Amino acid sequence: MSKKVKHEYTDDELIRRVTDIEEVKKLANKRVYYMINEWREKELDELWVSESEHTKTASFGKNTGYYVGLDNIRAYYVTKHAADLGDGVGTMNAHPISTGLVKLAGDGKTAKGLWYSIGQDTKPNGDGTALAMWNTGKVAIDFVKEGDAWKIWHIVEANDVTCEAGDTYGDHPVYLDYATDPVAVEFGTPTIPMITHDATFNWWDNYPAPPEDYETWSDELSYGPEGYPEKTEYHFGAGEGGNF
Amino acid sequence: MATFTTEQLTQRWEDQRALKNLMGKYANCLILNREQDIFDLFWTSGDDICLIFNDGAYVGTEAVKAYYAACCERNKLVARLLQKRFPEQLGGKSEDEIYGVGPFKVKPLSSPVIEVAADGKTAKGLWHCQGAYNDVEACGPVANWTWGYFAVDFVRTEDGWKIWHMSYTNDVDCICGQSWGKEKQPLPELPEFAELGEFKYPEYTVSKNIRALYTPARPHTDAPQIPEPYNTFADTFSYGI
Repeated sequence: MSKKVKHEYTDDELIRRVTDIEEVKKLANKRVYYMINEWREKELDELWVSESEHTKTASFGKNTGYYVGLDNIRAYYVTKHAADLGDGVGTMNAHPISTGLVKLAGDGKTAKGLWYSIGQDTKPNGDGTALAMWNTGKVAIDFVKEGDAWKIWHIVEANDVTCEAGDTYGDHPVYLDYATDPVAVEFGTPTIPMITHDATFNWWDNYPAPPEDYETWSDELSYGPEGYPEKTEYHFGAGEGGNF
Repeated sequence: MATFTTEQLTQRWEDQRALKNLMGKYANCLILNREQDIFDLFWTSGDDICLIFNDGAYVGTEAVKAYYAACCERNKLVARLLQKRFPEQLGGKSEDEIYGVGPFKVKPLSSPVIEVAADGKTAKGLWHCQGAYNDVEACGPVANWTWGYFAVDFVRTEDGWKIWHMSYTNDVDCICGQSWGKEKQPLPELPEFAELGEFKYPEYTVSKNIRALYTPARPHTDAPQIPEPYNTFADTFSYGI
């Protein structure tokens, strides 16, 4: 797991690190507007990794698993989504991120960030109304530097709440039915199907966990499937809702 | 892409922090109903400054100032009407003492993308704003979701960074507890607050549809343009009108 690291940096190194952290935040924030604009292909092409050693391990996770490899991510995130979107009339989304926590590796080659998003997805019902859904959850991202540019390597969007605007969330069933849960249905069948985040118990399930100080990358730190923690670390000793 | 020395990088980071703080202070002034202070604190002056909303823009110093002055007048009117409605709590207090009672305009800013020009003279920023205005209207107190964007050009002056062009446009403006995907269910007017239905802000300098609010019939609509690195303002786009 992550280790506390203590460095003494020169002024040059310090401002470089501060600038890197700002660039990483800016990259995550840019993605918010790319999503709003439905620039998903452009997002993958411009904001995500492009070097083969990274593209094959790139991953996109939600509560029900991970797509692994940029081609598989593209098939879900771009191709499937475009088919779902149709002509775009009456569609709208926003997944702004706040409460950012970013850790830059001691060696400056990778970074990890965690944000919270209170988002919405709206799509037409076909009868002159639209289904407007709140979608809130954590957004965790691993970043890696390719050349001089920071790129997105792994993302996990861990949904906590999905609720129609105007509904009372407290009236919703406690236990999700993954066959009908809109987030699970939208995610389809990922490369690695598994329950990564149990929304039933929200914060009891600390995934994705906040990043900690670390010196250099290792797979066990990843927000991809290779870094998924042993469930025994979770609350109530892997009991109901904790570990599946 | 420009390369910078350590000193320049440090200055640019400080600039970025100053711009975020400027916008944070702006949002706090809205929460505190301090519209009367906003222009002098945060804006530069000139014929080309502008404040843009979904359906029009105020252009030039006098027009922008007049808008904030009108906000202030509306705050006073709300306070007077609430004083009449709640004499036990507010009766006997002066206009200054009750100023600010009622409106609670929350405009939290997130997802900033900020670019400071390589020449350091201007900057651009885009924020998402998942806000609410909880105000008193002709129907009485009402809370509304407002989802939109602050897109701002800044200029460096002798007095620090100032707002040059500001566009605040929304996608969603919806009564809390209702769905923005369904027809709005307006709340009935209350006679004690009916005067607020007649309140008018100054006419826009330019009246035009800048951004349509969301409806199920709206074509997909992009966010305002995302700032990109630039050398000098002539090399980039303007958020102005």
